Amino acid sequence: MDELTAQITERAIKIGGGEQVAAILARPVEDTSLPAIVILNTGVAHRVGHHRKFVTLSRRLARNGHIVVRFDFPGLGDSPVMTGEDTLLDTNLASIRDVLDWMEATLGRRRIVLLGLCSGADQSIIYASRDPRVNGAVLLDPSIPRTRRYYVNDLYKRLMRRSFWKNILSGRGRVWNKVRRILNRQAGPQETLPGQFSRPNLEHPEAIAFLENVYQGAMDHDAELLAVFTAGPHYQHNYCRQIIDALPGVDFGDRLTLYFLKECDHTFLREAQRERLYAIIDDWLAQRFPALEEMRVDVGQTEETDDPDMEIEEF
Amino acid sequence: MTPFYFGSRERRLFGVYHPAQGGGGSRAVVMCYPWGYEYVNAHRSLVKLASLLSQEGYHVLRFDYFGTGDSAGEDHEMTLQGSLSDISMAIEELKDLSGADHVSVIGLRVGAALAAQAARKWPDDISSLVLWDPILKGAEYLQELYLLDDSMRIPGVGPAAQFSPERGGGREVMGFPVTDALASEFSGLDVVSTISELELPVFMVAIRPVPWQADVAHELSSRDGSGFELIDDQPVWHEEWPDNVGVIPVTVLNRIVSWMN
Repeated sequence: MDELTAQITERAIKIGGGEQVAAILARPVEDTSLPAIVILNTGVAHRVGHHRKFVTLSRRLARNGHIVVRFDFPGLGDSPVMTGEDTLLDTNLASIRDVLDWMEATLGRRRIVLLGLCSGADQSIIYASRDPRVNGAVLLDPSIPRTRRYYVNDLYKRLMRRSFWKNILSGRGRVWNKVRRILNRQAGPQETLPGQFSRPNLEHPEAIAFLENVYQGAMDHDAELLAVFTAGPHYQHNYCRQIIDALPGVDFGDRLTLYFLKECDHTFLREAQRERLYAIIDDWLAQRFPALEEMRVDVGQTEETDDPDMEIEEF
Repeated sequence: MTPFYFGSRERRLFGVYHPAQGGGGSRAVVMCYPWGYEYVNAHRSLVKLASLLSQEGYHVLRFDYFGTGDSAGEDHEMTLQGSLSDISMAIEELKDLSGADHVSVIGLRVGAALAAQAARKWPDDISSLVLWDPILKGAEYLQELYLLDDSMRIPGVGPAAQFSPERGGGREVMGFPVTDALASEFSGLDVVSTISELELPVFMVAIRPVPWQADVAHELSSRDGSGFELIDDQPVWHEEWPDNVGVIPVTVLNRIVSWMN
């Protein structure tokens, strides 16, 4: 028996009426009352995750006493494509519900923490607003609107860069591209060039209202939130409290914990970055989700850190 | 498709079995994944290839080597020697599942190099081989990996870690450890000479010209039942974000299926 098998068990399962959701169930050898964790896909990457981080994380959490399910949305990884009229988002949200229903029916679990990176984070918070079984969500680089402070930070960083001035003088770079786009707008819709990608306009009032609605929905279910932002999507966020400034209509109360990892990329490519993330998640779970028999710890504290690469805010 | 674990208690492997549709016969295919970040990027396309083959009446097993994907083992425990023994276990598992006496093996990148080694080692079990953009010379591949990692310009990514001897030594490359042992094994890969020793039908497909390819192409073209084709398509193992994310190389997949048929 290897070391892993001695501490946890892993089983391949299929979930849903049509067994359309392929998943791996990781369980501690001894059951605990700790919440179960459900890990969602990132983009089109299958449930293993970039750099295998969701496998490592699942096993680590299972060793700590959590039941963990990592699964593929229909059409991703080992889950077959679903045919039907539903949108991709609705199909994915229905899959999360199938997984939670299965965990409740089969394992008797009603305390669930969703965990996702990027699109997985966005789908986590949307689902959390709709199902009171979601007691918490770990949101890694969720999509949030840019704010006035974001633009000021962004401009300052650009002005400090030598490449910015070189591009200005040579007629290249984002500023000139933007000027050209504006000048060419009358010529009709622009083609997406290699290296470019379209992003939703999260600063639109409708987008902000939607996001405020889903975050507030999760808050109304007493969900705890851990939001971790990295330096990767610098085009969308660049400071720790941006989510609070961007969604002023949400009352996060004392249930939002924020991290901004300045020296970390979007997929946590370096092992040291992943270890740091795992430790953050471990600490948050321990603080916010003690076993039911334990007393709840104090919340609402601000934590100081000596690490210059990391900002932490707890509310 | 049926996801399941197989292998031994010491070496639990995760696999997905695609049964031959329409009942199928005894044609069976084991698929060998690439290594590291290439595995993550290529997974989607290899699932599609397995589905296409299943629709064509092949039993297909794709699986994760020990220390990779959903299989047991830590990242740094993955070795090529170990992966080769995993291929053997996968072949036996698929023979049991399908009733086939022997299997074809399809490998991508490092998986193709391992598939070629497996075919040399177990000629009675493997009846044909598809090498998709194989790593022809491992020493070159290793240098490419180091260069790729060192030249990354992604916001937030710092320099690669060097690992202690207790962790197997070596350094990380694109999110995965290349231990001293794995680096040594990569360096020793020589698919060009391995192919020359094989007597079974071999089809090699590549999306771009690389050194030594001409030698292999000449070798395969001179053999009955074997062949080489250069096909203009996407490098599914290398994500050029956002341009080729999630793109399936339809032309390559269809050509592999048609060659198998």
